[in-house]
Amino acid sequence: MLILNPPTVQLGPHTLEDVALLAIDRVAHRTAEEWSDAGPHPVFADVPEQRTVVRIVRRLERDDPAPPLPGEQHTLAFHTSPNLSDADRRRISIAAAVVTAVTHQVGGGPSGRGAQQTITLTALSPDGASDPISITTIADGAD
Amino acid sequence: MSSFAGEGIFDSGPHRFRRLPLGLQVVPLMALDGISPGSVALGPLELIVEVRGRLIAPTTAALEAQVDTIGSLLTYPPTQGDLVDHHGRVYEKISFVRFEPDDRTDRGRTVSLAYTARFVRFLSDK
Repeated sequence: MLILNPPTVQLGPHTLEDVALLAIDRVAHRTAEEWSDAGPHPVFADVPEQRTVVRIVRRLERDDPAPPLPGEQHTLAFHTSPNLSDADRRRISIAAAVVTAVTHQVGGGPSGRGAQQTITLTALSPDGASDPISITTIADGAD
Repeated sequence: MSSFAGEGIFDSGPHRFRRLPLGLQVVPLMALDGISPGSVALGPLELIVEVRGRLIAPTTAALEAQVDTIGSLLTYPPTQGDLVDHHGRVYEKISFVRFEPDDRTDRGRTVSLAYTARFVRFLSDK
């Protein structure tokens, strides 16, 4: 899932502005694959362990002396909509996400003077079976 | 389709057959008398066939039912029957002696459990 230019992203107490993109990657942590005695091709594959990784990429226009720290666990929430109206707005939230990295790329902006911050998080499931990503549709005009 | 004693006990998922080494049982003389060098052949190795695969079920309960069914065959004296592999090879009068589940049950799209099952044709049964 890729979200471009979400208005704001709330990561626990951190209100993250100037977010260029938010990417949610789902990757297999471990796969179960089996072959048979009949030939060379796998006949079974499943993903019993997977990881949901969230990357928040921000454009930094000013100092950011207190970014989130690796190991912190926060709720993550943001809104998305197909346009700037309230129509078809959706709230995407993660009840618990742990910061695993906060990195900066300096001089990556168009002017050569900008900075880019990438916050990487691992999303946690409340019980191991439920999807950590929750998507709800917001009624028009509601927050 | 494979079977043991006429039952397709592993058919819920893929599984493969492996024969363990053929040949002679060779032991060091040191192990017998404590002083002599060299080794001695005591006799033929027993035929051992391992089945490695994965049981697959839609639910944990269904998977446990499969494991229970297999476990019910692990009796003493051992359950003996013909083991037939996917290509029709028959290992006659072989005994089911061990079922070793993997270290975890995998819960993804399905509930599955990798395992190794061992069958031995005892020399006394030849």
